[in-house]
Amino acid sequence: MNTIETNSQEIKQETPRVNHKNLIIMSILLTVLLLVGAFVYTFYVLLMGAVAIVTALVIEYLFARVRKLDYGKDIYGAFVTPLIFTLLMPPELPLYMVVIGVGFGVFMGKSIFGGLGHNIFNPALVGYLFLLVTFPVQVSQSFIDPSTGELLQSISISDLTFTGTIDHLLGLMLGQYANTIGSTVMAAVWIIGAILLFLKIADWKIPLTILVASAAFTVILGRFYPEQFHDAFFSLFLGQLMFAAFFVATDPVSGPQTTRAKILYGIGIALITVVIRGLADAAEGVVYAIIIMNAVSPMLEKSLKEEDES
Amino acid sequence: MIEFTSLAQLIVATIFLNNVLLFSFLGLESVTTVEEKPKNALKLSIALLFVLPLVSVISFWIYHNVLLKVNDTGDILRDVTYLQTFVFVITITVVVVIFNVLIKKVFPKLHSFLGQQSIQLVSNTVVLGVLLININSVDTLANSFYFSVFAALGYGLVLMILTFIEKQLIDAPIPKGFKGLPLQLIILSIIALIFYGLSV
Repeated sequence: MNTIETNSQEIKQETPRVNHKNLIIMSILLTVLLLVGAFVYTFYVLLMGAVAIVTALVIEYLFARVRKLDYGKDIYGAFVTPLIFTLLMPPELPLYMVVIGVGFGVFMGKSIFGGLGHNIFNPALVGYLFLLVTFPVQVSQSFIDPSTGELLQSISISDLTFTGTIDHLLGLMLGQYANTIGSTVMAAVWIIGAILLFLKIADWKIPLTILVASAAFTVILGRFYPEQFHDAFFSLFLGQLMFAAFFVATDPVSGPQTTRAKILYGIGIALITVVIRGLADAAEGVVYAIIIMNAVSPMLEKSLKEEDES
Repeated sequence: MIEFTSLAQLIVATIFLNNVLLFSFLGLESVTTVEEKPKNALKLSIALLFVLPLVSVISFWIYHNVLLKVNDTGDILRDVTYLQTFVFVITITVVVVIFNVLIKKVFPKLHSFLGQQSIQLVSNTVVLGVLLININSVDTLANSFYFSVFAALGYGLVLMILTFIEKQLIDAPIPKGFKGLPLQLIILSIIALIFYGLSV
């Protein structure tokens, strides 16, 4: 009994990477983005979000119950994971898959590692990855064209029709092209991302490094493989890159904390994303890139810190 | 000399998509022996990087010239390949011991840096496992050398990443039942899931 009590005290004291106020603001902003997604698509999107949140809360509650822990304010962290997960999903995903994905992500990616503030991998991405491996067809093909409402097989990520015209840019900004829920309306992603950076919830170094470096890598690799890589500027707006750079990669728990590690982290994400987009079979690489760099980030942080000290 | 594009494919395939630790489950016992110390993992990886190509090339030669003899027309003159495991274990032991003696004489600093980790390779399954994959899937001596180098690199990389993650988790309130090996296996499985998702 003593050990359990000390454990619960440790949770309250030692969550240095977590700021509860930031978690609340982040949850509200992500909910706004979900509402924008529901406006573009149908209210089924909101149902997906609600189911995801309920699943996450149930799992957190059961885990706390079994371990006899008092979560206290840490419960605010339970809202961010399901919201990010829903925003990364296509708008026509069956609800039971949402339950499976969020459940796996929260349990295997967060609770087992010791709960909020200790997870190595982003739990939403762990769930996404599990779902992508388990139901590859549904996750990569349940997209809707926002203007016509037809079911689409894929998002237009490497589409050659995107060549620098203002119309295409406006279409992307206002959400006229099929994409995942969170990244359909690029203007909303920009505005809410800017609010995040302005309130200093997210560090500006990581998104900036990711966007600049991925444009640079697209230009460099486009010299060698002109058929796979097209417009560097437009490549930033396609797929989930912008959303992930602002909302997922900036997670202070699974990402690094020091400045040099943050820049290397961003460059790594950009490089892996661009390489996967152009040269691998997978459609969108940014999720893989972020979770790979999550695994590497303790190494980056510790090894750079040791260099600084010596 | 191997071509650049096929070399790049071999690098990506061996280090990431067919990582020996993640997808063949080789060398899992070292995961527990490095004990959350990245330095131990680094020592093990460096020792492996020296030993594995050496053993790999020698055993490849032994397999194709001693255990299996084929004449020019393709007829099998001699086939004692059922002895392969036995012969490979002896080869590994001899090479590792000779390697240790040699670096003790020639590079004493390297020997004292590597310490016990290099002699422990005798009992590491990754060495024998890579040899057995090697003779089944690789066709030339040069390719077996490249394959073993990248297999050692991939193994070392994942082991280093894992130990750094464990170091970060040292203060985390992990549930009692998941402490140690279970959590290590879960971390490894999540990393494996990434590369599995990429190769599907």
